[in-house]
Amino acid sequence: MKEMRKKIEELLKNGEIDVALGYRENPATGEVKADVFRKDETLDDMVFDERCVQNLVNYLPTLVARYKKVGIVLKGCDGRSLVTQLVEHRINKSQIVALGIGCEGVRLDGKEADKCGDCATNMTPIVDYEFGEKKQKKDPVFSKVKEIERMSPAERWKFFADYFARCERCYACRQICPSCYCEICVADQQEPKWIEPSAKLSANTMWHLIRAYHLAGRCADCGECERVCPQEIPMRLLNNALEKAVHELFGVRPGTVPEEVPPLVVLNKEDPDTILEGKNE
Amino acid sequence: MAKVGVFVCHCGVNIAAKVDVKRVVDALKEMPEVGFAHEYKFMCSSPGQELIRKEIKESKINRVVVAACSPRMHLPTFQKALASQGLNPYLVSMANIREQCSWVTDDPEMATQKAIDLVARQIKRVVHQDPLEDISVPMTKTALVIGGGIAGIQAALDIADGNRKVILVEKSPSIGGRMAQLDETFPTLDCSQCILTPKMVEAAQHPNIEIRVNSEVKKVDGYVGNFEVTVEKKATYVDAQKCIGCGICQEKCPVKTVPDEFNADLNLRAAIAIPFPQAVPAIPIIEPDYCKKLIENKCGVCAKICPAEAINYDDVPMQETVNVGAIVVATGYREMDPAVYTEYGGRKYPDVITGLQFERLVSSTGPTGGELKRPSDGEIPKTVVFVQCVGSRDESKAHAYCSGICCMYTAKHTMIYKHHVPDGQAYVSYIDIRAPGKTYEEFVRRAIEDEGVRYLRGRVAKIRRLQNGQYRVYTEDTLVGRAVHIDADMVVLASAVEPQEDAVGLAQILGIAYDSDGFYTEAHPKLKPIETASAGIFLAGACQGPKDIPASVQQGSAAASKVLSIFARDNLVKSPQIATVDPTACTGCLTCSYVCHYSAIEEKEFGQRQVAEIIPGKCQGCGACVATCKGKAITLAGFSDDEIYEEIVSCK
Amino acid sequence: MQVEKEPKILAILCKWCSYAGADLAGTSRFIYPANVRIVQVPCSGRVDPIMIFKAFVEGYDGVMVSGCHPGDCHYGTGNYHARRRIAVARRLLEFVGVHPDRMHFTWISAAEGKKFADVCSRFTDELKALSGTEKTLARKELAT
Repeated sequence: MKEMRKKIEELLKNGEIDVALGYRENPATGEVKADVFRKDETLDDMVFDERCVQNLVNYLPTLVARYKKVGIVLKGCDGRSLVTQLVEHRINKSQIVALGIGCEGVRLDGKEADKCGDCATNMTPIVDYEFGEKKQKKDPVFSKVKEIERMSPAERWKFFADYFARCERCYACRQICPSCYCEICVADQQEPKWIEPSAKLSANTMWHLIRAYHLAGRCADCGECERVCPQEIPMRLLNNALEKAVHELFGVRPGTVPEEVPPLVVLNKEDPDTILEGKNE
Repeated sequence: MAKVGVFVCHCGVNIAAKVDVKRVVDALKEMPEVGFAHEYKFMCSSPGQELIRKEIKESKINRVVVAACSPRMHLPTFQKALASQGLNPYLVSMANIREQCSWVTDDPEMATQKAIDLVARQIKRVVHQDPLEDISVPMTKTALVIGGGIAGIQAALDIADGNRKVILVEKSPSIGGRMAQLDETFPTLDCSQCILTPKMVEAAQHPNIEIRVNSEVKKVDGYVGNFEVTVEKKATYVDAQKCIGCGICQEKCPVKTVPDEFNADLNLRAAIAIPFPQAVPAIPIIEPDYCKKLIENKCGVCAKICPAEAINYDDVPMQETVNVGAIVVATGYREMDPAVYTEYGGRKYPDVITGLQFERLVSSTGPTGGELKRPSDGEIPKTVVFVQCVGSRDESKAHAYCSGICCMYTAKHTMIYKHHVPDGQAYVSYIDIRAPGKTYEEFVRRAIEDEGVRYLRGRVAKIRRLQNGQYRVYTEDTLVGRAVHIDADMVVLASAVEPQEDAVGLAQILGIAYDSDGFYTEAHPKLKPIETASAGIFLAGACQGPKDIPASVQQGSAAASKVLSIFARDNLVKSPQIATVDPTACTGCLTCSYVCHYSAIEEKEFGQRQVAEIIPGKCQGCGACVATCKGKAITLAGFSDDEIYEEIVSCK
Repeated sequence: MQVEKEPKILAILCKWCSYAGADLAGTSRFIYPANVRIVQVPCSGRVDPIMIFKAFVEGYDGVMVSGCHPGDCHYGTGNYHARRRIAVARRLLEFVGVHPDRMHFTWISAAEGKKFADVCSRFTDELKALSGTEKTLARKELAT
């Protein structure tokens, strides 16, 4: 951490970056939050530890619109979500300096966040300066997904319908997701109304199916959607199910390979037709 | 407010026998969108269409649904009926109550209910249909033909005769291509140059054809009707405007070490040379890798003796952009280098030559002046073995495909050989004889029966050079089931037809598809064999796959007719059912561009951001981009989300 | 007596191959259940999985998508893109509890009228075989 702080200070000082996006600790409350660090301040309250839960990539588009060059502190998962941002021309790599830190996991609600158990790369794949320990890539296990997969279709539907019914359609999940950036979200469109705006089970089901599908092959499991959901809908389960699916179907782990075109727009004539068959048939 | 006129067809008894048409009409009348509903025996007949025309005029309907057969059958008929009354033809929809209902349903009650449902869905849909106008794109009525072989020449001549300008780009110093290298042609044994050179000259003198030799296509922008093509002319060091083609430079040049490409590298030629006597244009070029002046600033003989002062040692490559409306790709093929067959000694043994080398050896313009002498010692070969399928039909070593022309040219070679050496013996090692063209089979029989050529079925295993200068060809005769060997004076390998070395590179410049071998892919193997998937780019000749001369000429003419039919209109008229981007909704992720088969999606600036833009001239209306766009910023006219949504949700 | 309702099937077919295949089933007079509703799209590549999701939420019992066979796409590559999208959509639907037998994704050429009729018949039978609880995501349940 010390090293990284020193590097950021240096980058700010010699003008290589205009601002740095990192995590700041409020010394009074001990709270840690995303914040912007500038040249004229000391970086004493910049921290990186298990309290740094937020995905900073979410703030990047606003900053690169305002500044020429932005430094960003990246955990492994956040770095993976940055890959999608770069490929989809949301952010230009030349405008950022990626400060990767070997993440040791973050904590949520007093325990290690679920997502950390399935983390594929603790170091960001997009990196200009590396700090901390970079661990070996590993394959996520997705044990909770497998648990659901073992249920019967009716049991599965019961499981999800209970959650979907609770959805208030506050769209916090959408707002927090760096990859949900449509100018006009399909859920807000009037004609045709694929997704009705009222919070009822049918419309909520449409919303959650579409949200998950639109993230397929792009979501790298930063877990922010689930973290901010006021109804505690297990959205990571849907995301992970599709992460697992795109790996099984196309051999892709979203976000782990820089410049990789998302699998759902890749042309592959050699995909076997068996991928169209049901998994449980 | 939409007011839909509904017309339900009986189709004689085809619909009416199963569907209670009256009930359908009565049920639909209740729908608020419907102005009226009629039934009629044959909607597609003249009185049926007249009914539609009359109602458009009198009842002020602004949308039409015809419930009848498949729209694939009669949609255009009813579109015309609308258009004749000034109603936009895209405001009609058809409910397919014959193929999808009366013909496939047993129970009349079920059929009637289904018919009501099918028509009701189209009524809901048609309300969401928008009037569309055919897209009219202005175009440049000049064609580009890439490749000056027989296919390209034919295409250029046909287009030029159709009174359109043609730019014919040829990589080498002369047009003529492979055919110029051939001696005689199958199955008539007429001399190749005698039939080709008049065409070369005709192309050169045609007022509508501009030939650009020593030139290559470097970049292609734009789309059908409006291509911008960058053509690079390489440095030739001879001013074509001044040169009179006397050839004295070639005679006096002291460097005579350049492998003669036209003669399939059988001899050496000067560093400045006209590629062959009948070349068009007959302008020499300097080989910079051999010219002493260009390498070490010595010599300069050609400049000194040139009576026209045409030599320019300071020549540089020149790029120029030309505007064309259509492109014909006719880049031809090359002969496979047989060196991969080390067991045959191709390229190693001087008298083991390729088919093309044999052509040059027997050609009167060839290195021996048409006398068949073997390269090693100039002796007349008394025994020659012709080996077929070298690199063809041999997936393990070279290519899985059949090169198509070798069976025929080998038969031709044996005959030419026998005409040169009447007392000689020719053997052919073959796998199968493939001679399906007109009079082709008879031609092969002639070689076997009249000329006494011995055909041995089997694949050659090895060729070994003997002490006495002969070559022992180890092969088999599978028809009698025994291994044989022949001691030959010369061996001719029918080396496979391959795509040009830079075929893939050019395909990428043009944005056209190619197969795993590198041959260019047609838009449809049966129904669109001339078109590529990119509108306005057509294929001719062996660049698409092995072809003989007649097939190449046919395809050249076919490509020309495709070009001329585009140019026959004032403007390019396209179906309006294409995709468009709403730039205010587009995030500029450009993932849509990855799925576009036609490279129709480009980036454009919109305010502060980059967004996607679909080029109307290129879009073919498949909708792959629409399904990719998460924010629904892309709409496909005729198959919009609105229209499809209605069809899905309005089902009872 | 309770009448067993025919399962409702939505078939999204590409214009060039599968829709023509369905037409051929008609011209060949192959009888198949009357419960199939066809939506024509230009290409299977036009199929946005949102259509499939909507169909289930709207109460269709089964959804079928068919395009030209791989290699035969009128637009070159649309069906390859469709294959990927639909494969993922299927996984998602199955994951939330849509029974696999309620989805049928296949290739039907313009010559395969028989195949189209057979697929419709078989698909209907399979849907009939599913019990009520297996038909989750039904309109009644979702009306809440």
